[in-house]
Amino acid sequence: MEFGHPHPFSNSESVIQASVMDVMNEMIDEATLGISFEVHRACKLGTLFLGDTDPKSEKDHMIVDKPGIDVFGQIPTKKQFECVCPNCQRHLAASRFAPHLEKCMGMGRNSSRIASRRIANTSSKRDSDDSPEDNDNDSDWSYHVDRKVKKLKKDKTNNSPRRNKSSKLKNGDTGIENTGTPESNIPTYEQMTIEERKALLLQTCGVISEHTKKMCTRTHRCPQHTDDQRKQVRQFLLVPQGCGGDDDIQIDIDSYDDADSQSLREHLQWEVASSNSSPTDSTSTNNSTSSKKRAGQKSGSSKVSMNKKKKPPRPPDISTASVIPGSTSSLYDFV
Amino acid sequence: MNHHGCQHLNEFKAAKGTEPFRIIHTCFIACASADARRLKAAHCRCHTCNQPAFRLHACLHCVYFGCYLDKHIQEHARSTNHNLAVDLHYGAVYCFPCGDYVYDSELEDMARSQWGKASSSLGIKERIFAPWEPNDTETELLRKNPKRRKVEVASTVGLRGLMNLGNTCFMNCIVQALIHTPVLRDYFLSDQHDCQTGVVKKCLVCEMTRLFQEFYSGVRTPHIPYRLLHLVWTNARHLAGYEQQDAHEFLIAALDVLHRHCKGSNGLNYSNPHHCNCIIDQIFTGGLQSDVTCQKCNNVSTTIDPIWDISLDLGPGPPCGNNNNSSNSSPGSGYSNSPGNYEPTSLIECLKRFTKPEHLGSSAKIKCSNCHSYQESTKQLTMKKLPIVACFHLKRFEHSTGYHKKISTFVSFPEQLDMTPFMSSSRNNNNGYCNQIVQESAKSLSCDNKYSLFAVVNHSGTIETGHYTCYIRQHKDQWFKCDDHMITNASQQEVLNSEGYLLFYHKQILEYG
Repeated sequence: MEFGHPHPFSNSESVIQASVMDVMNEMIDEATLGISFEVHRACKLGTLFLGDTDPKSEKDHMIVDKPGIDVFGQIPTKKQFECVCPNCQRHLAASRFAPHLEKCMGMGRNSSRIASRRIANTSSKRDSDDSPEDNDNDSDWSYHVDRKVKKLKKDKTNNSPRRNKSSKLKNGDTGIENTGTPESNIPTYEQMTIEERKALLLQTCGVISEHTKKMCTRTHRCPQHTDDQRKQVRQFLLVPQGCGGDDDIQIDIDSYDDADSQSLREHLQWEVASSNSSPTDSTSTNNSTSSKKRAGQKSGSSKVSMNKKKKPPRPPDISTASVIPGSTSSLYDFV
Repeated sequence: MNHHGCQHLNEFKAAKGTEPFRIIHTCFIACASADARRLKAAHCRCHTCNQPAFRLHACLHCVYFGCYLDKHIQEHARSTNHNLAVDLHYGAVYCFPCGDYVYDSELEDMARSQWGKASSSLGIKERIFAPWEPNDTETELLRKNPKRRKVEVASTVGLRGLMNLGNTCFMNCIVQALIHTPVLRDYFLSDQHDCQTGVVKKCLVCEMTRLFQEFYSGVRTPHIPYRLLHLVWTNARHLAGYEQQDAHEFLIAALDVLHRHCKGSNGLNYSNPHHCNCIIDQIFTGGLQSDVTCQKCNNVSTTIDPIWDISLDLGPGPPCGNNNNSSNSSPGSGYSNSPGNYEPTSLIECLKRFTKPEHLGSSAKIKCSNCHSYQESTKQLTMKKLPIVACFHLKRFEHSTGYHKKISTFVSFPEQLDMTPFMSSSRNNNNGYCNQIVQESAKSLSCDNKYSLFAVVNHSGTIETGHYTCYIRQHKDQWFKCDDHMITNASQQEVLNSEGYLLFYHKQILEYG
């Protein structure tokens, strides 16, 4: 305040300067004193160096700055990390957690989109071919995947939701690229005769996926499934039982109560539809194995129409199987 | 912590109690009223040399002030045998027989409450900003366990890679940015979240607490954020699904879920939804002022909306009505005189465009509350309240009708940003902005609205598919690149030259709140 008026003895500028310097010095002195007291106090109470990093930890956590390795000094590895799904408590590879969780929780934009498309397809055009194949594969659960499985998985990536999305963006047609994928070669087991099943099970693992209702096409030594599971599936598929006629699979599934039964039901609806008219069968006339079998079975009729008119032999009645508690539970437990 | 000064101080306390110390402390050290402060200013002089000297001490036995540096207090002690004196700056007790300052927990407790009263009398919250110190048990624990994890300049503590769980790089880079938000880090590392939801496993804030512990644990292997993903999916269903997501969308969703999960913990302010004081709102919420001026009567109607981020357009701006000759093809000419008619090439220009008055044409007439008729108007956005952390979102993904594309133009952004020209207060002084203001304010001493860059999220690839990486600042000028599980050193120049999708700025100076 008083600095504003010209001082009678000296010019005001230098007085202000000097005063500012004084105030500043005093503030610095006081702050310095404060720190001195803090340190002195900590020293007297013995807490001064208590929080300091020990030399070993300091050395262990030094930042490394070398090309090719990260700041921790590690070479980036493809090491598999494992995590437990909070939803289903399964152990799985961390890098596959997101795709797993999508299915496990039955959510996601694409999941629901695919699901609704499936429902739409089953209710409307039976033999329409634009429904993408279910890309579910049990290899999600397991992180002990061998080379062969990986190769198989790679083949299937063109069925993944993302690919479908991008291809849809291109021309809105997703059906074509689904034909001829490995799994479309294997007809659903419902459509096979006991002999055909026997022949197939002699060569493959055959365990039926909980999600896709498809049989495992790997060898008997496939690492994903246990011998028990293989045994159960053989018992289930090969024990001859009278054709149950027009049994309704859905009813049986309804009795199966599980938190995820909704998504399962969706899968099964899809399965029912495909057993009547598998979209893959109807389009894939180049599909040699299945068409050959079909032709041998019922000669003369065209493949597509045959599927529509006459139902192929039904699988063993699941409803009867469900009477035996062991066999039903095994059907859903083996994954 | 219990500590009892020295034998002499204890003798004094036994004889005279703590009252003499309290009186000196209240009147001359931590004054709780304006009168006391006036008294202190007038009387804090050495009784021997009559100077308001530095390091003045008061005798605990009698009314005597003496300076320490000129040995007046020492002389007094010798001649009167008054062997205890109080430092008049900080209230430490000096014992002459011991020849040292002594610390007594009883006196310190008393002093602490006095300081609290003093600061509240000055309008500062009754809370002293003292460094943490361990109590007896903590000291014991620290002695027994000498291993330390400390955030130091050359230390990797606080850095950790995050596993990609399958297209989750968008999440990883946001997590890295949040973990390295200084105020958020202080909140979580000081364990301030008091979970009220009761179900720790379902609370995203609790998961953040765990994440911070994971990051600062000193473990070097990448962390697997599967629980976080599960929680986000269950709480923000629109983000669920195994596909590539937008990091900005994730950021907003994550802040929203965190904000919702915080709500239980601040019951007092729950009644007012607009003034939530949860940590997310304290840090990220700013106020965006929108002024709509009627062209006819110049009536201004003002609204203020809370915002968590500032989304900035990158494409060519709408042509300016008064300046048609500067075309998009020559950004050089448009650069200086007509913001809005060029593609912005810097964050400042984006912000200038953001806060530029926009003419709402004849097709968008608004009913003026003053002249009660539908009139053309101009609208201007300014920052009413700046958040502690400002997130700028450069709209690189353009979704126009019929086509989607990514705008990959280079937009420079500064390491230090001054938001003064984009404040509502600046608007009141000067309608519209010219470069002059921006330059002037950049030079000015005011640091109140200054920000420092601390995280940059980058996207590489196309609009349909790509990869997110993140640059984060750990210490001043120490940058790291986080590419999922891979953390590497980065230079500041590298960061500033990167494309930039989300820019995180931190306020340089925090007001006492």
